Amino acid sequence: MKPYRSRLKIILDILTAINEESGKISKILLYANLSYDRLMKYLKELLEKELIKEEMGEYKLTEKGYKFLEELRRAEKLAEAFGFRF
Amino acid sequence: MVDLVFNFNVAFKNLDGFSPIISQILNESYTRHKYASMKLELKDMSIKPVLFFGYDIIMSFISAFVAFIVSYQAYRAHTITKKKSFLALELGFIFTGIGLLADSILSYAAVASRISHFFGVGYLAYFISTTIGYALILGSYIIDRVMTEEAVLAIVPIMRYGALSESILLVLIGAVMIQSMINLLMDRSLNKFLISMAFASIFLSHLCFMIQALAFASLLIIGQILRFIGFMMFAASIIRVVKTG
Repeated sequence: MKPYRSRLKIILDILTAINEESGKISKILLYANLSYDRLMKYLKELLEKELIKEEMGEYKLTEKGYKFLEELRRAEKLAEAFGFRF
Repeated sequence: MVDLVFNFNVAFKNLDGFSPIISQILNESYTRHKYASMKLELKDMSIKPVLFFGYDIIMSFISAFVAFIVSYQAYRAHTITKKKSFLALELGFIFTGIGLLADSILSYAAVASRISHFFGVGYLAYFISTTIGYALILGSYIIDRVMTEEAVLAIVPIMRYGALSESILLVLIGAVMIQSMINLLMDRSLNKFLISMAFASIFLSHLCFMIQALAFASLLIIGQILRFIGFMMFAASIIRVVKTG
């Protein structure tokens, strides 16, 4: 059985993929392990919240998105340390 | 600081204004601190609590500071994730920190002003605040477990001990410790190990406080050191978390 992945974890995976891999859809799909439709839904939400931006067909983190990613990583580590689910 | 010669017996026998439960807690505080004034009766002990008195105030103060840092990190995590378990953790560590801070400040006030009653009030504030704090930390685990399908045992009641205040704290932190140990066994990592050991250390410190209230005064020192080590482990874990960004 696949372990449950929360919405926060999916967003973290997408933002990490954009930050560490390239911002191409194919790379994000591979890294985040999502269907195309679901990924587009998340990307739309992240664009609306100005956490990412689209430039020449590639996605990039905004300054706000980078800070959000850092905070999310810290929260994940804290949750992991205390044994909370993330 | 060392030559504390308060007449605790007089101070704590005149507790007419307090309810029986508060009087009992104040008397336990008296038990905790009475060794500071019992120089003549401590000759047979290898380590004298009277020499340790003062350092425990500093260690409590630093532990309170660490508790507030953990609380701040939990606040940041709650702000970004909106998870209620982080909110409970944040509040839990705030109350734990307030308790330690109140105990250290009022103990210092008692030493500085030579008004022994501050010890009792300080310990009462510490007991109430720490009880709420531990209950909230335990609550954070319950919230985290109840709201997910993978139900892991969240509360393991331990109800065997006699001493009033420390036994209540012992039960609360004991359940938290067991939960953190289960988490560690399920998925091992250095951060989880540090948090588990921190809770274990604090649990043992309360066990020492409880026993020392009944018999062995030297355990007061060991208890203080164990609690300090516990909070230092929290600090180490938080430093690792902060470095993540």
